[in-house]
Amino acid sequence: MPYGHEMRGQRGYSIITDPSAKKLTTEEDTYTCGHCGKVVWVQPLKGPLGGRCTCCDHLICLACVGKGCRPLQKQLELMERRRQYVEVLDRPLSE
Amino acid sequence: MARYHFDNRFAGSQQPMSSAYKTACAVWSSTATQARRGRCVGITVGADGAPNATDCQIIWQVQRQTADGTSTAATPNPIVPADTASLQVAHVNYTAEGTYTLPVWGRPLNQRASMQWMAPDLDAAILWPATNLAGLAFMALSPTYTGNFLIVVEYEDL
Repeated sequence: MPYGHEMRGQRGYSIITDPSAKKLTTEEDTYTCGHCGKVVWVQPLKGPLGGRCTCCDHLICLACVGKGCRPLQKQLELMERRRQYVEVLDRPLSE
Repeated sequence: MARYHFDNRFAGSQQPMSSAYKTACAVWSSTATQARRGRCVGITVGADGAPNATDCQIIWQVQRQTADGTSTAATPNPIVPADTASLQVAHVNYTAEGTYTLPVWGRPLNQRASMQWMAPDLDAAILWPATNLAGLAFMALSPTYTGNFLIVVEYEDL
């Protein structure tokens, strides 16, 4: 059962404390790319951030824009299957 | 999912920062315990020593790991004491770097600054696969600051 604070979304949050800056504490939002898993800082009015994949409906980073839909979960499955395949090939023939 | 916490003060000797990336913490899946996916839900970073007389920046970064380097094993603490030990492997204070591929989190900060990042949403966490030695490495570099640094990691077993 999902908990109230565990909303399915891609939003992260950061707090920067910098005594050398004009503002002691800066709060910034982030989101995690739905394709490569990279964390993107949302800084308003500072150029393009990325996009939204119309296939899987996830926010994606700028590097993933225009590269087709490759959801992170699918990539993780492929990494795991690739490793399992290599382990099967490494087994002795007598097994 | 159980949540765990560890940092590079848990074990070994803190390695001073240099102008090349130094890994302070790493966590990964291991077939020695049971390969499970994990996700990082919180990172706290900051210098752990007196600032350099010359003002400078520290670049903090998290990269995907595919092979381990030379380090000290650490035992992550479960946030809820009743939870069992983590199935992930955590190491700290690397003296020789592992093999890393894709940077997934990075931020430059002033040497006097510290930062806390958290992922309250499920899909905001940084995932790694259930593949032996695959995980995340947390590192930093600075062209000028040469003291110790602290990286705190919170993650969940999936």
